Amino acid sequence: MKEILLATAAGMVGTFAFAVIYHVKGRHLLYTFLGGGVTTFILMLLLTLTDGHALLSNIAAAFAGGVYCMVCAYCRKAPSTVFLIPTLFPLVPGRNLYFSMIALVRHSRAQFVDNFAAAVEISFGIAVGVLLSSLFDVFVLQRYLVRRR
Amino acid sequence: MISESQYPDTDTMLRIALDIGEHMLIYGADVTRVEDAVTRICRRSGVEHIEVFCIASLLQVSVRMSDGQYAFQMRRIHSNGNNLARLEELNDISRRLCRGAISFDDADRLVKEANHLVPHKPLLYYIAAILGSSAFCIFFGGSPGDGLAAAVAAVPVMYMEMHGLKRGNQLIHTILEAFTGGIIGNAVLELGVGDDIDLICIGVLMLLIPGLKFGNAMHDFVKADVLAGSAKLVHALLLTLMIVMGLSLSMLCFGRWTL
Repeated sequence: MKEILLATAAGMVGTFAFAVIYHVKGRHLLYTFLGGGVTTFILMLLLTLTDGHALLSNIAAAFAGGVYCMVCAYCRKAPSTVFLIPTLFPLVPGRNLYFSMIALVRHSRAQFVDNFAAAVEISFGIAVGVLLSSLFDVFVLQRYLVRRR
Repeated sequence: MISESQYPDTDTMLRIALDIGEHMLIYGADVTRVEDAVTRICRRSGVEHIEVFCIASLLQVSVRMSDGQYAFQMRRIHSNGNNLARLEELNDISRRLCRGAISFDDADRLVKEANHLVPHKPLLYYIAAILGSSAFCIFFGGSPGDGLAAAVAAVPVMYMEMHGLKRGNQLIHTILEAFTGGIIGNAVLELGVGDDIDLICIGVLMLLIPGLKFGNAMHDFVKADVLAGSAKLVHALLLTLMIVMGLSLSMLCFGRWTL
């Protein structure tokens, strides 16, 4: 649990930092900071519970992050992209892409295939999670949250 | 509320719609949002039929007005990045324009203002680069020493990002940024700060990596938009390869990697 909390804290700080780098307005920064916590905590928790199942963990984390961002977008009256891009940043397979390209440059095909496949798996997980959250937006949030206004 | 008599001529209307769409694309909007914004603006202006086609490097719109007149305009997009404050402003302008809350002249002026919006002071970007690279270095398993080394290397990379080439070859620019980050990271490691050069480099490369472009490419594939997805995927892979080339060259200089 200590590792999960440490990774969550690092993910939250990293998300906040990248929200600034991506020029998110000051009034939204706190929400991106919390969003980074949501995605990182769920990712780390599920990776631990599922014994490292990257696809499932990333789908669930991206879905939770996506739903959080859609709710933020309605409440803060801003496009969901503003919250979504920084919030999903901790899921980005930077480590795998780095090692796959390092392996390519150093002629290590097995390492390249392993890491590249992992990067594709994680990216596919993020894409499916975001797609599911957009369906949740259409069928749940827009029906109940928006109609109540 | 604007009246129909205040609608501009077709060419002006298309120019303003494309100005908004083009800049939304440059500042990080996905193609669906851009196509939606341009379609709504055109529909608001009495267009009878509209076709919008958008990929990361091209936006084109063809319209048929109610009087039978046709018009077509296109924009070539040379750079894509993430400026979410400007994207939010442009999104707001397009919505207000569609609601009729502002005129096309107002929208034209507001788009020009939005293109100069800088939400934070320069110092904050450097602090963010330091925090972001060290936080992700630790997130991926680095020690506090690795985080510190990544933070030091992040400063010149951020400087190059902020003052780098506005035009020119993005791939060469990326190699130079990665090389500079790698040289500083290696130098700091030589001074005894940090343990693992790969984790230090991962912290630095998070500032440059097109990971979200990779995710967006997968998102486009899932939505069956193969053309947009392929373009993004190839661009993301090329950029990542350039980053690793820059970092590998820096390691070559320090003898950590041999050909």
